[in-house]
Amino acid sequence: MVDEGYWSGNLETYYSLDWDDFNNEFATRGSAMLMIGTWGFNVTATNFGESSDDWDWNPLPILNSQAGSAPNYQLATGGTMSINAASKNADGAAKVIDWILSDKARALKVTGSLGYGAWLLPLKYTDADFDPNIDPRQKRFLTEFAEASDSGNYGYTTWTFYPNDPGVHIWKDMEVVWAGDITPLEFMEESQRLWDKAREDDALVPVGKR
Amino acid sequence: MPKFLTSINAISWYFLFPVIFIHFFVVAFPSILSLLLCLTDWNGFGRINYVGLENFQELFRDRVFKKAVKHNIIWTVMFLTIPVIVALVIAYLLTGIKRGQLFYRLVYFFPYILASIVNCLIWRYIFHPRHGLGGWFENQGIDFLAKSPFAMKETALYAVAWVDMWHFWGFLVIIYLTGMYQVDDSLYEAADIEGATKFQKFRYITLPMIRPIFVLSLIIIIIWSVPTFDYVYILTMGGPAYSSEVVANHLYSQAFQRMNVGYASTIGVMMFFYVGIIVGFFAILRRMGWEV
Repeated sequence: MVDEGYWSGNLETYYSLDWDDFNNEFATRGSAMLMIGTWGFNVTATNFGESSDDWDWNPLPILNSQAGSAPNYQLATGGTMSINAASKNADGAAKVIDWILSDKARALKVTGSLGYGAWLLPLKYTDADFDPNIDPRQKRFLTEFAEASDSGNYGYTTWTFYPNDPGVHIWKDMEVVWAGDITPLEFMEESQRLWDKAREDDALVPVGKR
Repeated sequence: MPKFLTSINAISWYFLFPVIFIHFFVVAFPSILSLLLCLTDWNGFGRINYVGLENFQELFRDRVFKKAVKHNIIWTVMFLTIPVIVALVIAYLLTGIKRGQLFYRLVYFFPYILASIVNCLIWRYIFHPRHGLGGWFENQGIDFLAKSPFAMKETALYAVAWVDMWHFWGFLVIIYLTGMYQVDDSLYEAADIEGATKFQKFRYITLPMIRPIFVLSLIIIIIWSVPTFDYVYILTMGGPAYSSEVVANHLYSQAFQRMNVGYASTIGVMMFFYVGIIVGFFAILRRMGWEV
């Protein structure tokens, strides 16, 4: 879609624009959609401002017919709440984490302090849990995301669990495919080679059980 | 206190010590470490495994590395020609200006004292398809510069080189001008009596007389072209599709994005050898009696 000009009109302009431009284009009818994570909610809401136009969100569609039609959410985990193996007070640290996560309202308060754009935990929220001033689109996300993840309909962004080499390859070398310098098959072969090497080097990051 | 500790030689070493100390930890030690790491598969924080010459074999198969080397050669050729010719001509013309010369020198030298990030942001803004010249022309109904040259794979390398040359040539003007002012006026007076033209004076007096500075500038350009990084990184990050990738940029990507520190060290070692060959070449020329 990028090389066909669905974003920014053409590939070269897509390369020239930054996130401010992409956000602005979306808010001013320059583009039909903006592909971004939930952290873009607040910027989008601000950019639309008093405009008579409105916006809403949708999870990315699943293009593989074998995977079913249920929406799938990509978790862009950029950090974890972990306890250091050398911690002198591991139990105390665990208590803090329990304290935050055991209370739905408390967890939601933390999420709210980040504008409901980050730190989104898939807890089973109901309408009653939310502040009446919350943007209904963000509320819908939190409830539907919890349902989808509860059903196992989630995956991860490449930067969450990809090893470094295949992780860089997938975004950097995609430009080479768009440029027509290599075929998609050659791209996938290189990706396979890098994954094999990462596996051989024991560089795979363990993914949590579902 | 023993006399040798207070001799002039010893005192010189005391003053040099802080610099040598810092140099050792910042330059020498990492360089030596790179020589060792190029034989390993270290990823920057894990276990270090010896892999022999595997990284070198991989390097000669690496499509991006070959492309980057080619780009470095193009880069060097461009810098050895365009800014050198322009700077020589402008410096020579400036020697004939008596009033306001300082103003021109300041104007030409100004981009050189600006930080690379400032230079890059200025040019990126100028060529921005929405906010720069392209957007302005579009508003006038003219389809010109609609695409940024930094974003087209056919022009990206040349566009980045253009910005770097714009920043660099003023420096050459200043050093050529310095050389030209050291030329004895009597040579020009004799040439005037003989009826030499301005070009003949430049060709037969100025150029031979500034040869040591001129050759030094060429050596500087060749050596500085090897680790060229900042302009490429800021403007294109080597893209699109590696069309402006240079060797130092590839090294950075391997070391800090792909975390192949051992492999990146191999690239660094190759750069080191290449610079060594250039310096050795000029050292041989000097021994042969060339004024370099």
